[in-house]
Amino acid sequence: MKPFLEANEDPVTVLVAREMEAISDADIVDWAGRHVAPLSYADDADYLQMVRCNPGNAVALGKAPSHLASLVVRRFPDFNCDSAKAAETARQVFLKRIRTYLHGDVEPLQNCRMVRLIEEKYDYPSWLGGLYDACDWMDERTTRDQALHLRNAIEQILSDNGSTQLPEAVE
Amino acid sequence: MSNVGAVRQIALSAGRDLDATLAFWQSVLGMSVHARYDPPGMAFILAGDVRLLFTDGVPAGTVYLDIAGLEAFHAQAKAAGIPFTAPPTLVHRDTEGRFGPAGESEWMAFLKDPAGNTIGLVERLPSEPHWGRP
Repeated sequence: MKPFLEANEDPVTVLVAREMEAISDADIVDWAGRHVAPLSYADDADYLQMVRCNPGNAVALGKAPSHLASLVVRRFPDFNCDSAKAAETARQVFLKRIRTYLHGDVEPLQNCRMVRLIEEKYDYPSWLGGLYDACDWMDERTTRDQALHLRNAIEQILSDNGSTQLPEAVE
Repeated sequence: MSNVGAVRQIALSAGRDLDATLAFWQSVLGMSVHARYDPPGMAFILAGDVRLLFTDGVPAGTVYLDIAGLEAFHAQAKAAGIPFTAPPTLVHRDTEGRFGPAGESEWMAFLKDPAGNTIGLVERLPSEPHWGRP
């Protein structure tokens, strides 16, 4: 399966994606391993910890988000997670994540986990559309076939955000 | 008129190694074996008033168990290397009080035992501080 992150994302984008659970800890480590870091943080201790992390080590994997957060705090001091810019980054990640659902094998719950975090962090943004209602009672046992209404909701959200449904689109 | 009542027993897969399955339930979930019969190789764990029967010949199942302090349990188990198939997630806001006090939110996390049974850990929490639809 094609990784969700392209590897050319900056650490801020990856952090935003992780904080809304659009990606997993393993995705962070995978990104770090493929990312070509600029000199400004290529030798950063936290970045190197992510690069060297063994994804088979659950404990080490669990530390990846804190390494990423430390990297951003230190090397991107101007980043403000409450800014309009952060919200726009979140919107772009969100649209890419739900678009992936249409074309991949992502399970419904993986998408639905984002809802509460986005509501809380970005104050119930309009771009979330009707995903809250579509995700009611979704749990780990809910299959894609059972969740056709989720697909419909995602198509509507992409349309409302002026976003294409094509798999390789870039916002 | 039917006299059928509450759930008494649920059958879950024992897996290929009953010892390993029971050890998981004991060490990870803190639920000890109530009774075991060898032969034929079956065991019971009590979940409240419901008997969980671990036996051969049934497919892996799903059971949802109440838990208090789901977030803390998840953090502790994750730090110990216990893999979750889904971390604590809000799955329903019970606005009308259909399954408990109105306004509570239902959270679930999922993990699997060595037999492949899915264990959903469920906690109802008071409404979130910022709960409110625009």
